Amino acid sequence: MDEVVRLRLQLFGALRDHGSEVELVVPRGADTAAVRGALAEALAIDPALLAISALANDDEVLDESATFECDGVLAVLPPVCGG
Amino acid sequence: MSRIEVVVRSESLSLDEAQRFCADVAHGAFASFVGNVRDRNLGRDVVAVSYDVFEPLALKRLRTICEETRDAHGPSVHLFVSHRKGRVAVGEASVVIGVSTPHRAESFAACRAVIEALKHEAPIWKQEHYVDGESEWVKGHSLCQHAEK
Repeated sequence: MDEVVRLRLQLFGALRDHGSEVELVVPRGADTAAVRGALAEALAIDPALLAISALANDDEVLDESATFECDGVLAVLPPVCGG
Repeated sequence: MSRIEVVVRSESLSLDEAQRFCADVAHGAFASFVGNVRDRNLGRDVVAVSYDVFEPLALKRLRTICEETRDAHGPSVHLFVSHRKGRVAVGEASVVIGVSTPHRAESFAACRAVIEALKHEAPIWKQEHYVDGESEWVKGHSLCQHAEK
């Protein structure tokens, strides 16, 4: 059993300045804070912006306590401003 | 019985479409909100705004906003929400909301509730493009539970 998981992260809004998506490899069971940290390290994203960016899937914004046990696709959502 | 329609599209939006969707002989009131791209923001001259949308979640969240609004303002309310994606020129509509109810108070209140929730909760972002050729992402509202609201 792999000790890591592969996450494909789709980037939106201001985060698109760093590309539209990135693949990260993180330890199995990593939490949202760990994913943010790995993303900041991979793309040199402003930590202040990442700290207020939510992780989500197609159905919901993930709880901060969420952990990642298998490969998957996530969206990283900076502060929103529709309308 | 309530009707709800939510749409995200690249093409021009139509207030007529909202009014047609909400038409109901039992409803004496139709309220609408149209958000247009304006030519100036924070002292800078704007030529267009590009809307970025996380579409699967945006459609779900907009529908939930409409369902919550229906629960708050009456079971017969009809709600129509359409939002642009991609580049929108100054003067064009970026969002159209239509609401119909039996009486006007509920329509006004429901329409206001939908646009306020949309701005704070829907995963949509805008990047302003300025006359001088620069572009900038507009600051917004965090969806994080831990962020200060």
